[in-house]
Amino acid sequence: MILYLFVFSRHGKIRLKKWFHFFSDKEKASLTTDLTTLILSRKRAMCNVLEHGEHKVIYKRYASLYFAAGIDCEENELYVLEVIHRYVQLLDEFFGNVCELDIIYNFDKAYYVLDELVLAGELQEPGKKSVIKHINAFENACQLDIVTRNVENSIV
Amino acid sequence: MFEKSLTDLIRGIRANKKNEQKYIAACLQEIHQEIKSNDPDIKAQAVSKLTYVRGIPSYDMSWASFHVVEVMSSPKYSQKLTGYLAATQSFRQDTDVLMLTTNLLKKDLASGNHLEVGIALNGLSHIVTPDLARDLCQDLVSMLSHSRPYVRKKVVLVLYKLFLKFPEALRLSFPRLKERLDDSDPSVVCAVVNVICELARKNPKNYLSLAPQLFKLLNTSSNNWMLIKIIKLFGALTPLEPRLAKKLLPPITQQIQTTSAMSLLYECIHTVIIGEMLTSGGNSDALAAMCVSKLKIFLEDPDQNLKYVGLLALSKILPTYPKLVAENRDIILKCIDDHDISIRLRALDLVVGMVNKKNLTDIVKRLMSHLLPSNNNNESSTLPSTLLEPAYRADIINRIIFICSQNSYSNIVSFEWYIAVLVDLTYVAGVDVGELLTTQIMDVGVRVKSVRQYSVKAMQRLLSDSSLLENCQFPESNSEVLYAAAWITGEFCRLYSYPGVTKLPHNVQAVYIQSILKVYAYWANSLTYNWDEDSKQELLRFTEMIKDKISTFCSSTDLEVQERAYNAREIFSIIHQNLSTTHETTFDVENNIYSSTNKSPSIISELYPLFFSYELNPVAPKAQKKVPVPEGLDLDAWINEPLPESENSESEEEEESYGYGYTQKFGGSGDLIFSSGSGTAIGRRRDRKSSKKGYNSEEDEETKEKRRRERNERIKNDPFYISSTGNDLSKHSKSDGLSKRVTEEIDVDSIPVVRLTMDEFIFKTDKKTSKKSKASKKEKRHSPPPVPPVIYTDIGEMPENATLSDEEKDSTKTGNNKPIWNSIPSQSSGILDVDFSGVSNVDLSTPLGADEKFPSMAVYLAPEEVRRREEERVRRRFTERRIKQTQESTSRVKKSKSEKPKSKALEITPNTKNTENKGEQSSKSKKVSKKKRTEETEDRKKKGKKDKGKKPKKKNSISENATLENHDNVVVDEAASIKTLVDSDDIQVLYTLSLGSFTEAKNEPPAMIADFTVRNKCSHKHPLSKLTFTFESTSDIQFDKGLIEIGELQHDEQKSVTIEFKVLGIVGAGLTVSGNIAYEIQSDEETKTNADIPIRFELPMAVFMLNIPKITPEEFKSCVTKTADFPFTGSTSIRLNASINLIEQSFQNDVTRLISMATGTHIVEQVQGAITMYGKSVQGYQVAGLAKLTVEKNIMLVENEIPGSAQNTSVRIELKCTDQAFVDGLIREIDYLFKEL
Repeated sequence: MILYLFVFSRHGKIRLKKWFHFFSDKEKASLTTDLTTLILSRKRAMCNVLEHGEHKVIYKRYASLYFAAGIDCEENELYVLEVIHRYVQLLDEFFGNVCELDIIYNFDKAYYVLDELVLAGELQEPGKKSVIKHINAFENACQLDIVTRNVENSIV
Repeated sequence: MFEKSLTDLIRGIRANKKNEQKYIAACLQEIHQEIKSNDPDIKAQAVSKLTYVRGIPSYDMSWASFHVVEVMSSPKYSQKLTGYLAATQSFRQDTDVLMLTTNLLKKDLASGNHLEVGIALNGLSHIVTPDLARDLCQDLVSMLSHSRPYVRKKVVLVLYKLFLKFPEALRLSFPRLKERLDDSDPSVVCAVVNVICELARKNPKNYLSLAPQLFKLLNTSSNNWMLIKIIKLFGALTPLEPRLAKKLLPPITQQIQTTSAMSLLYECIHTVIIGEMLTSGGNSDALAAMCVSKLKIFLEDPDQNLKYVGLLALSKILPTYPKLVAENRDIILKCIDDHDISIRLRALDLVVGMVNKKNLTDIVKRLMSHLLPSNNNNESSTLPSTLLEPAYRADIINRIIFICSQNSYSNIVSFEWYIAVLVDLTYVAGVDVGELLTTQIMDVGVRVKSVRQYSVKAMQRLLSDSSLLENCQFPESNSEVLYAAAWITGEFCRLYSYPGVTKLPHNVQAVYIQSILKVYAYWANSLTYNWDEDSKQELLRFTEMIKDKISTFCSSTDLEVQERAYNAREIFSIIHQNLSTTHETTFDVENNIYSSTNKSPSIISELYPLFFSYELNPVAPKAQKKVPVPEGLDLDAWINEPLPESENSESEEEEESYGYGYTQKFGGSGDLIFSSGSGTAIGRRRDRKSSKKGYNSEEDEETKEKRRRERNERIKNDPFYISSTGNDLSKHSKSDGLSKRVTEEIDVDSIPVVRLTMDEFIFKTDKKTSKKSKASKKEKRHSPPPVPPVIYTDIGEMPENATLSDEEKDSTKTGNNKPIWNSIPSQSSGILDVDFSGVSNVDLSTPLGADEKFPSMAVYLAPEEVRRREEERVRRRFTERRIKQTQESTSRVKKSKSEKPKSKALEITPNTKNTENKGEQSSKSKKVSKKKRTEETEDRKKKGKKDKGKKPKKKNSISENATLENHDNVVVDEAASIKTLVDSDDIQVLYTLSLGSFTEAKNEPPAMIADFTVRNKCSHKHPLSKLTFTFESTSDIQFDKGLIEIGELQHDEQKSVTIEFKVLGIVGAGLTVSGNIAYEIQSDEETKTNADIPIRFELPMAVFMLNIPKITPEEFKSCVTKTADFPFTGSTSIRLNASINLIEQSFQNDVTRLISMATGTHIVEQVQGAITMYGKSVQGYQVAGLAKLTVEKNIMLVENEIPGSAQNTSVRIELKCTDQAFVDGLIREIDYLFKEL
C-alpha cells in the first residue's frame, strides 16, 4: 500500500503531496522535510529505496523533479517504482511533454491524474488508456462548465 | 471582478521570491474576503487558491473548512472538483464540518454523472471518518453493482478505507465484495485483489476460501500489476495452508522462469521464500537454488534497485539456506562497502548471518573501517552524511559485537584480538555504546581465562589513557568502559606484572577504590615473599600516599564512592598503624628475634585472602535458585514461634506462595530432585502428604481448631476474600466426618508443601557425571573447535549439589539466538501505527446472521430527514443539560418548600373535591386550596396577631396572609395563575405569565408577558425606593428591555409592572427566567439598606398553549392519525391514593383537570376511566394526550367493589407531540405537579 506521494523539485520545494494514509500534521511536516533533504543528499547512482523508520520510501528523479512514494515494508519496491513511472507517463501524455511548470500552474490537474491512477493507496487502473480517457472527460466537463458560465454571463 | 486568478497567484508568488511570506499574507487577506463572496465562481477560485497556498507548509486553512464544503456542494462540475480537492488536502479526521458532508456525499454518490460519483468517491477515501463510514457503507455496498466499471473499481478501493474506520462493514459487505472477483472488467478485479491483499496481510485466515478463485486468476491473467498482488496475497495465505503451497509451485516456478518483468520475478521469489514454500515442497532444494541463482542476477545487475531487493530477498532465505547464500559471499561483502546506506544495511543483515571462524576477522575489519574516519580524502567526500550518523554507527557496533559474541563466542579464534577490537571500539565509537562494551569486556575477561592477562594489560592502557578521562562528560566518549577496566584490573591483578599503583588515575569512580584495595592487597602480599626493610618502607610510603589520595574521595557527593572511600581509608590507616607499630616492635626485639623482621605483619597477608581466596568465575543464571537447602535447615519450621496476630497477617501470603511454588516454581526441578527418591509422582506426593500429616498430628487437635477458627475470622473481615462464613460456620458446628473432611480440604494447613530434606538427595553422587554428559552434549551441538582457551560457554558456576534442568538449557538457547541488534530498529516509534485490530479481528468464516444488517436501514434518507435527525440530536443534548440544571434548582426549591409546614400532602379526597371548584382552578399550587379549607382559623390567627400590633415573625404566616389577601383579587384564568416570586420581610412579588401578542407568522419566537405585582410590606412601614427589576437575557430568552424602574413604593402600596420577552430557545423543560430585584429601604432619615434579591422562575409549558376552540372527538381522531404531526411521544404514570369508591369520581374531576391544566390542553372527550386531550402551542406544536385510569392487579377487586384494597390505582398519561423538547417538558411538569400533591 502506498502511504503518501510527494513531488518535489531539485531545490526541495514541494510541488505536490498526497496522503493516502492518516498522518498527524506533525508527522506530515517532519516527513516532508526529512525526506526531501535525505533524498536530495543521495547520489544518482544509488538505489531508489530509502529505509525511513518503519517504512520505506521509493523515489525516482525525472528531470528536475523527484517523485517519492512512502510504502509499507511488505509492498513490492519495484512495483511502486513502476507505479511512479506510470504516473509520470500519464502526466506526460496529459500535458504533452510535461515539465515542472505544468505541475506548478496546473497542480489541480496533476492531482486529478494521480487520483485516477491511485485511490486509497492502491493502484486503481492498470490500463493507461482508460486513465487518459477519464482525465480527458474531466477536462471536457470543466471546459463545458466554463463555456456555460460565459454564455450565462453574456445573457445576463 | 478583479480578483486574482489562480495563475495570477502562482505567478505572483514566483515573482516575489524574496518576500514570499509577505506576498502570501496579502493574498490570504484577499482570499479571506473572496471566500465569503456570494458568487460561487469567486468562492471556488478562492478555495482553489487557498489549496495552492496550503501546499506551502505552515499555512493553515482549517478556518475555511466550511467554505470548502460550500464549494463541494456546488452543482457545477469544475467547482465541485475544486471543493473536493481542497477537502482532501486540508480536512483532518477531527475537522468538525465533516459531519455536514454526509448528505452531500450521499447525494453525489447517487449522482447520475459517473464523473461526479468518481470525485465523491475519491474525496471520501481521504476524509472518511468512523461516522461517515457507518453512514455511507450501505450506499457504497449497493454501488458495488453500479453499471459503470469506473465506479465499481473506485467503490471497491474506497470500501477498504471504510473497513479500517468501521470494521463491522467488512463482515456485512464481504459477500458482495467477493462477487466482484468475477467482474467482467479487469480493473475492477484488480481493485478487489488489491483490497483483499491488504486485508489478508492483517488476518489471512479469513481469505483462505478465496484461494480457488485467485488461483484461477493467477493462471489466466496476464496483467502483471494484478499478478504481483495475487502472488503477494498467496504469500500471506500459504503459511496457513501447506497444501496450497504445493499447488502454487508449478505456476509460480513457471513465472520465475519465463517472466521478463523484474518486479514480478522478485515478487515470485519473495513469495516462495516468505510463503514457506521451500520447506513444504519435495524438490525444494532445486527451487531454492533456482531462486538464489535468479537473485544472483539481481545482485550482479548494475541497477542498484535490483541489488537492493536481491539482498533483501537473500536475507529472508538466509535462515533456511545459509549455504546457498554463502555462495554469493563475495558480492555481498562488496556491498558492505557500498556508498548507499540502503544497500549497506541490507548487506550487513546478510553478513551477520554468514559469519564463521574464517571470515570473522576480515568482516569485523571491514565493519571497523566504516567507523573510522577515512584517511582517504576522496573516500570521505563521497560518503553521504548518513554514514556518519550516530544511529548508523551504533548499529554497526551492535552488529560487530553480535557477530562476535553469538553462540557463546564460537566464532572467535583469538580472544586477544577480540579484546583489542573492543578497546579499539571504545576509541572509535563516537556514539554512546559504553554499557555494551563494558559488559562485553567484563564477560570475556571473566569467561576466558587465557585472555585475562592480556585484558588486564589492555585495561591498564585504557586506565592510564588521559584522553578518556578528559572527555568523560560526553556520553560518546564511552568512559563507562573504565568501569570494566578498573574492575578487571582489580580482579585479575595477580596477572599484572607491575602493580603500578601510582599510575592509577586519581579522579575515578567507586570501582576504582575497590580495585585499589584489591591491587594493593595483591601487591602487599607479593611483598611478603621477600620481606625486608626496603619493601616495608616502600609499603609504608605507598600506604600513606594512597590513604591521602583516598581521603579526597571521602567527601565525594556520590554516596557509594564516599562509603567505599571511607572503607578503604580505614583499612589503609589500620595497615599503616600496624606497620609502624610492628616497626617499633621489631626494632625493640631485634636482638632477640631477628627473624621476626623477615616476617611480614600478619595484617598484610590477611588482606589478601579477603579478596582473592576464590577465583571469580561466571555464575550460571539460575545458580541462586539451585542452591540446595543444607541439612538440618527446615524451611517450614518456625524460627520463633510467631505471635498469633503476626501469624494471621503473614501466613496467608505464605499459603499462596507455597501453593504456587508447588505447582509452578518447584515443578521442574522439584521433580528432578525427587525422581531418584521415591517412585512415581503420585507416590511421591502421597509420601510427602503423609509426612505432612504426621507433622500436623504433632500438634494437638485443639490448636488446629483454634488456628482454623482464627483463619476464618480473619477471612471474614478481609475484603479480598469472598466470604463463605455462613457455610463454614455451619460446617464447624456439625462435627460429622463428612463436613469435617470438607473443611479439611479447605484448610490450608493440609495443603501439601514441598519440603526439602537432605536424606533424599541420593542423586548427589550422580551429579558430576550428569553435568559432564550435558556439557558434552552441548559441545556436540555447538561443535566448538578444540581451541586452546577455556571458554565458559553455556553454563557458569553452579552451587554444589545443584543440577541442570532441561528448561534452563532451553532458555539459554533461545537467549543466544536472539540477536542483540534486533532491538534497535524497533525502537523507532511507529508512524504506521494505525489500529488495524478492528479489521483483523473481523471473522468472515461464519455466515451472516439475520440480525446483522447495515446500520442505516433506509437506503437513502432524505436530506431533510437527516437534518431533522441532527437537529433532534442537538436538541436532546440541550434538554439533557437543561434537565440537569433544573434538577439542581428544583431540589433547591423543594428544600425551601419543605420548610413550610402543613401544606404538603394533599390527598384527593371527597373533601377536596367538594371544595369550590373555583378555588381549585385558580390555584395550581395546592397551597391556596389548602388555605381555603383552613381559612377561618387562619383569619382568626391573623386577627389575633394584628391585634397585638406585632409584626408576625414567622415567614410562613406572612406568606399565608399575603397569599390570602391576594386571593380574592385573582382573576381566574386557566393559563395565567398567580404565583409568588419573592416574599420577604420587606417585599412581596407576585407574577403571572401569559402569552404575548401572537401572530400566525411562523418562525417568530413566541413572545411572553410577565405581569408583576409588587407590594411593599416592609415590617417597619418604611418606604422602598429605587426599586428596579433587572432581567438577564440568555440564549433562550431575550428581553427587549431588561431593566424596569418602579421607583418608590410606600408601605402597603402595590404596583404592577409588565415585561415582555421572547423565547428564542427550544421550548422544553427547564426554561427559566432569571434576574434580580434591587431596592433601598429607608428605615430612618439616615440609614439606608440596600437589598438585592435574585429572582428566578420557570416558564411552564402550559403558558405556551393557545386558547383554541374545543375540537370534536372526530376531529381529534383524524388529527391523531396523521402520525407525521406527532413524531414524539412521552408518557408517565401517576399513583393515586384514593379510596376505591371515589376513584372514578376523583379521577374525572381532579386528575383530568390537573393534567389538562399542566399541559395547557383541553379535554376533548371523556369516557369512563379515560380522557383524551388536545392542544396547540404558540409555535404550532400540537399536543394530543390520553390519560387512562389503570388499576393494577386489583382490577377484579374493583369490579367486585371490595373497598379499601385498591392501592395500585394509577393514571397513565401518554402524550404525543410535534416537538420532542416540548413533550418532555410537559411530562416533566405533570410529574412535578403530582409529586407536589
